[in-house]
Amino acid sequence: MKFGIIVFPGSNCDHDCYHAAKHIFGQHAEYIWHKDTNLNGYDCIILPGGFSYGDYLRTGAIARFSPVMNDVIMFAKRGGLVIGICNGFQILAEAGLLPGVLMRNRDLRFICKAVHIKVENNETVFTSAYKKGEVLSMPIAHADGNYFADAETVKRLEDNNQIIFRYVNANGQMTEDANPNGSINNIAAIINEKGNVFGTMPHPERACESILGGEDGRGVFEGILSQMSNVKAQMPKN
Amino acid sequence: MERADRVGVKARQHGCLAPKQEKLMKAKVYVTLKKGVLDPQGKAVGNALESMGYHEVKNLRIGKLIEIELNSSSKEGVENRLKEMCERLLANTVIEDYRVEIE
Repeated sequence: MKFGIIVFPGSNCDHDCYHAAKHIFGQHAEYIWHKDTNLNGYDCIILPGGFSYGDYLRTGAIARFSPVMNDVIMFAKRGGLVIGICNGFQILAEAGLLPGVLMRNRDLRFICKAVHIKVENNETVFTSAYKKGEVLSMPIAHADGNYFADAETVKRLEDNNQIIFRYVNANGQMTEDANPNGSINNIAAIINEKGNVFGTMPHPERACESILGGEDGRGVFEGILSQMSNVKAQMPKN
Repeated sequence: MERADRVGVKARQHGCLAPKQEKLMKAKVYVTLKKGVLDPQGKAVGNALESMGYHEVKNLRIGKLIEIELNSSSKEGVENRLKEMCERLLANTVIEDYRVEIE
């Protein structure tokens, strides 16, 4: 399986994603410069974390117009798997591939710590390796992770089971204290309606080795790998 | 029709005459958070003013002012272009409103 990791000016988790895909899971992985415009041959595109374009104007707002993004949008429309982690999630939201927007954290601070999240939907390519309701620990590192969408959109996300992870406490309870950034309904990760575009503020790629503090992120990669043959069969040729 | 006019019409039909002259215009774009969207930054600054003794401060919200200089031949044209810029990049209409002023 071949992962493509997009490198925007200011991306800084591209190496983490590459390391996870290539060295931990033994898959093909390549960096894709944001000015490249050919995504043929990739099975999964990752938009990594970082501070693309210095977060100027709004997080992800300028990266969304990088040349490669037209191809990412086409790739997603064809059913290709796309993951946006942290800044990558912000870019997917700005690009309209995922609904809503990631705003400044409720307490205005940059937060860098491990948080507990609950798997709300395990019937997706990205979460099939987890149990529904499982509580995971993954790191977050962001200043703008406060998920917001209008009431109608949030209702649609809830009704369609598009909320994938929610911030919870260690016991799996969804409380205000467990919500690090003020996200509406404690939303930490969502998926598009079609089920092939996944955006997450917590970093699964940084939680794949116990030496780095935990392995709860492995499930995202394991889920993709186990379901990949399935997806490939469904994916039409260009 | 005067000869000069006839020449003008003909020239325009053939694309020989320069379009209406462009001039440099100045515009201000105000981007503000929509009603009902929380503004923690505005709240923190409002609280700071209150704690400095400005008890009359009841509500404070922070937005952005973007100053743009641009070439255009008509005010109407500028307005349409600026609106497009706001919709596509300068504002995220999920959470923000925008207003354009042309000097």
